[in-house]
Amino acid sequence: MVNPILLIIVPLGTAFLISLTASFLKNSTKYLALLAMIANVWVSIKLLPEVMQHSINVVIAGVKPPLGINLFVGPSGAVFSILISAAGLLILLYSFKYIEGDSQHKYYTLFLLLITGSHGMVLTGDVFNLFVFFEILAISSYILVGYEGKRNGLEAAVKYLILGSIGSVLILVAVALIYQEAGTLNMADLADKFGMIDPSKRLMILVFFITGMGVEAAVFPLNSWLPDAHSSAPSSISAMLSGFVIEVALIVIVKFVYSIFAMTEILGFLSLVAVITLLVGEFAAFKQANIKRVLAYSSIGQIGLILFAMSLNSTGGINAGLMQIVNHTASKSILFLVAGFLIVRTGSYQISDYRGIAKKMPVSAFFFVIGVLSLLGVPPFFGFFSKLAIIIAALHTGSIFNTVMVFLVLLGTVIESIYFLRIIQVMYNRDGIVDSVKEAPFLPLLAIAAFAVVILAGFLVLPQITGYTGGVASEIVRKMQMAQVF
Amino acid sequence: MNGVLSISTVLNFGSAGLIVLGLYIVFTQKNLIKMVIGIDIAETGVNVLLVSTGYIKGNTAPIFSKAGLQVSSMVDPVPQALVLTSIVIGFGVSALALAMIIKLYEKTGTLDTSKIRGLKW
Amino acid sequence: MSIVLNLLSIALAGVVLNVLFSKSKIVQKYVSLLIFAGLTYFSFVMYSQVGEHFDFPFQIAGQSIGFTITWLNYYFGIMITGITLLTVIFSLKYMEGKDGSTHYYTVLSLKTFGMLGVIFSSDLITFFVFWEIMSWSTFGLMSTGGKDAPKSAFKYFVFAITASMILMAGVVLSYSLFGSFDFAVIHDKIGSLSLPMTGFLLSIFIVSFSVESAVFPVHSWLPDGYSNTFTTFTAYLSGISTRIGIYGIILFLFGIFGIQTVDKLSIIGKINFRYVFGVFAALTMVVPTFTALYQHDAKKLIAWHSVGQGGYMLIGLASGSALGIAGGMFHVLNHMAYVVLIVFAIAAVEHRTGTTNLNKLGGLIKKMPVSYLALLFGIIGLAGLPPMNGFVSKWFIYRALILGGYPFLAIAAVIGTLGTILSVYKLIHNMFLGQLPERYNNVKEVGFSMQLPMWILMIVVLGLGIFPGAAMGLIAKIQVALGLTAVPYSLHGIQTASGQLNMLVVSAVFIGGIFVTWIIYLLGSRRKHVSQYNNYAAGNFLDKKVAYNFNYEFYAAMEHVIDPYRKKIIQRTEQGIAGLTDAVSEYIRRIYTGMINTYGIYVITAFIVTIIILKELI
Repeated sequence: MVNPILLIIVPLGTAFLISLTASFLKNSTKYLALLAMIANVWVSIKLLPEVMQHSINVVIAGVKPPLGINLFVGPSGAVFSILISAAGLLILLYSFKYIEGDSQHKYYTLFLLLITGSHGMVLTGDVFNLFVFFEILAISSYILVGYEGKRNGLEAAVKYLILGSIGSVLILVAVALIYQEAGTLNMADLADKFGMIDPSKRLMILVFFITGMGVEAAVFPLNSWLPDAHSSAPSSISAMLSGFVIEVALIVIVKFVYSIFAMTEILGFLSLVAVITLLVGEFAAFKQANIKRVLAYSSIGQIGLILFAMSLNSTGGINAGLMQIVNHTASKSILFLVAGFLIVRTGSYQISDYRGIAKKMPVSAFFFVIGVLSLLGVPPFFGFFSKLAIIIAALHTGSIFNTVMVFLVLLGTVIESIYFLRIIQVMYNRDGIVDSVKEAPFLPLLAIAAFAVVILAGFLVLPQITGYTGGVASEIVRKMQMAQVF
Repeated sequence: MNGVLSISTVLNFGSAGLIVLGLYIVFTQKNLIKMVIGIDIAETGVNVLLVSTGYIKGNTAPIFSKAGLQVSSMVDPVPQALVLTSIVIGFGVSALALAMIIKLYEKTGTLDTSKIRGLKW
Repeated sequence: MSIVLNLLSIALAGVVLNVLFSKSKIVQKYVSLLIFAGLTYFSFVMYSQVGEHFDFPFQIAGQSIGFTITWLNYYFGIMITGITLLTVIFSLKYMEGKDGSTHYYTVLSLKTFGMLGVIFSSDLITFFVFWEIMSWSTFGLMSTGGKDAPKSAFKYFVFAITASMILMAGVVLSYSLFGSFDFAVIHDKIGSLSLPMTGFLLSIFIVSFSVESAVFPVHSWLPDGYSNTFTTFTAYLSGISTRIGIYGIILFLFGIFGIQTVDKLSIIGKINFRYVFGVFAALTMVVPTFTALYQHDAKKLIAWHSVGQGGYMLIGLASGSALGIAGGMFHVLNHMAYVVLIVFAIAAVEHRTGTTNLNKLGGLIKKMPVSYLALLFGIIGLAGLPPMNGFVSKWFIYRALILGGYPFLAIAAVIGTLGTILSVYKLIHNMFLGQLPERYNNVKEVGFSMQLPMWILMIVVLGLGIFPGAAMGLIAKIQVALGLTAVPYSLHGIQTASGQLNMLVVSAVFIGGIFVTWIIYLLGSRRKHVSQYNNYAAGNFLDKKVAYNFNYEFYAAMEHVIDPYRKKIIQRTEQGIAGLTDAVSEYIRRIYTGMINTYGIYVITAFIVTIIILKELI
């Protein structure tokens, strides 16, 4: 058995190691980061088959739960670990060529801290520990957003920080209330005891928690930091933030609502919020001229779609939402990573400046199209199957409300396709204005290609993927129990 | 206690007051430094709330400082551990915020949030 | 292995080879030729395997998906592959030296791949998947060729993606209602569905297909989209691509829902689902046909007609009688043959003169006699006059409408035909008759590879006109397979209780008439051939600068009659929707004010609102 704690310790330790060795390793510290990420991928892949059999509970520092802190690794933790470490590894490879300058070790330190925080959030079995990992994730992403030290990046980082701090205040209040009312911070123990709390207090805890976490999960209207932060961060970081960070926060919300708080009666409200998020995101993206803002708003739309699927109160819905997360991670990463080199090569964020760039950067443009097609759910890409699964799950509930919501979701897709197609048309325009632009280097393209393989080949391994996501889904809908942990 | 407020009520209301006050500052003040102060105040409020959850009237600090102390006569140590962590995090975030604000000030020459709107729509 | 897979893999091989050999134009041309020849061969020999079924080795949502061969999709399959082959033969010369020929052959293969997949699919998922491939490649086809092509292709895309999303809703809704994607299973269970739900589901599908087949209010993407691209694509798109929408309508109306179920969907009295559908079809016949009248671009004129002729097919289907449905289906084939012929003739003229502008052409009859003959055959077919094929199918449709008791729809069809005749006269007159502009003095007829497809299509147009039975046999088989009554036919016509049509007699009379006219012409006074400038008008000699025949701005008056309404209704609605989307997006964007204080207030408002709402909920 591999110990899942490695997933947290390895990047955390390497992060410190990089800081310590930076003075003499200089930019070679990136290879340390690479080793850490490879180890992470290896551990998470080893972990998955074991976890699918039975969940792993890791007691930390010898104190048993509910008093001690524990890691609780169910299928959801394992699947998300794979997602985080695999996407992280590819984005790291991309960063090798993308991040330039002398003090790269700072980037890689923070990069690994972001990975640590993400892993911690999905693996932990303790509410306060969740908060700590949330802060690790949030703080490292604040800094990374402003990493380039440009005006926009700093502005976005400050906004992100202030909103993130409000969010963490709300989460901390929720933690305090949980401890006050339930007397425990262990998630499984809390799940057992939560039902006994006074209903109005329960509601307060829930609302504090989901609004706090919702800031990071980019649920409308808590997501106002997102378009700024995702569009001003270095593109590799945008890919991470859009690719799995917001999804991690979202899955935490979903996990709490279903398996810890077990308050499925609020799901109708959540699905309404989700569809509003989707429409706001898609409509706001519609008229953007800045490519990264388009992608950022589109992430809002996608989060709405994922949340909609997850709030259908059925295993099928959560399953579909997880598939959509996989799709979004892969395709949005492609889009952000390609956009990164478009910006580097042309020096502009404006879509209109990319006219005819497909001739000069054919491979990048091709991958961009693949990413777009999968994001839109065009068959036979993976996105089609996830979108189909979402709609099937929604219509399967048979409620009129969900049917209307499905039509709104499809309207969102129409809007989304229009603005993405506009970009593609500009890129493939025959009379281009872009001169002397080089194709992106090989290593970044390799990373992008790996993401593309996921969405291209995704449907060949669809049964396996749905096997794992189905396991996650059934874990999430089931109420957590203390008895499971021991 | 016939009408007199208990300490935990005071702490609860006090912390709520601090949080509301802090957030109020964040929403109304246009100066970024003041906003950071507001967040700090709100965080202090939450910390007070956390401490109050473990308070048991009349009990001692959860430290075996002298012989004969019973666990049952101590206050709950968990919230205190949490508060320590949370204070450290809060400190870190404030320091980071101020550092970034200084950087931003270098670029924009202002701390007024209504003037720092390079990113919108 | 199923022959469908053969077909699809050949088409896909076409895509791959074209991408691989994107540098070598020669390889591309001949590989494409070989690919489409192979496709045509395989699709023609497929008739021996009708009824065969093939399942993919994997399942979607626990359902097996796959392909099946029926008479209906055999019919469409041979049309697709046949016309693509002719288009490729024609393109060999036409595309020489043109920018974007790699793209051309690649997308042509991809589009054929998509269309074949659509028609052979036996379940909704396969259907939808290939439908999307088809729409995206149509977009690809439209977006090259001219300066305005990307813009009009974009317009198409907006329509198509909306239709696709509606289709997707329909697909999933059927799945949640019937628990299956399979056409046959849905067909079996459709009777148990409540009538309002049946109507809703059918409307979803029909609306979605209406976009692809350019039915009246949602047709506006077609004329621009088809006329801005390469002329050969115009042929291909008008001839077969649009008709996949018709295939979808036939499949769902008669194959899946079944005529009995559709007839139950009554609104008031005689006004039922079919009738409403017929009214839209009638509008599709009339309005675009008269819009075609005043087009000054030959491609655009034909594009408008291909909208209008779609109306004939649909109205035939809407009539619901055996004769009408046969007419509708037959018209798909006939339309394909003559419209492609017409566009080939236009492309030939464009190849030699470089323009399709009707105001600039004229008098090419002596220079390009074969193209003239092709255009003549084509427009006779388009106008629906004997002895060409268009007459037969239109005759079926008129007759079905009158016998079925739809006098207004029949009148609409006749009005549409009137407009057609007027406008095709303009086409042939402005291109081939009248004064030859000086700059075209050295124009030659096109080469053999471009003439060959025209000759083949001329034979088809005339042949199907005189011997409609050649196609009617297949159509009768389709009708029987769809559970309809077949029209009794013979090689040269049909024979029903209410009347018969013998094309041999009709054609004999017609050809006899021409022969007599020719005799009279020969017997008439002696003629002298002079230069076109050895002439006078209004007492003045003509010189090269004066245009003495009226071919400039032909039917311009119609423009003033129709355009205002078209602009008012269709364009304003479209602009309104576009403007609304823009405005909504503009306002929604402003939520993100850029001011951090506001953002904080959003958070706290969301917090409070959530508490209030959830308090009510729980």
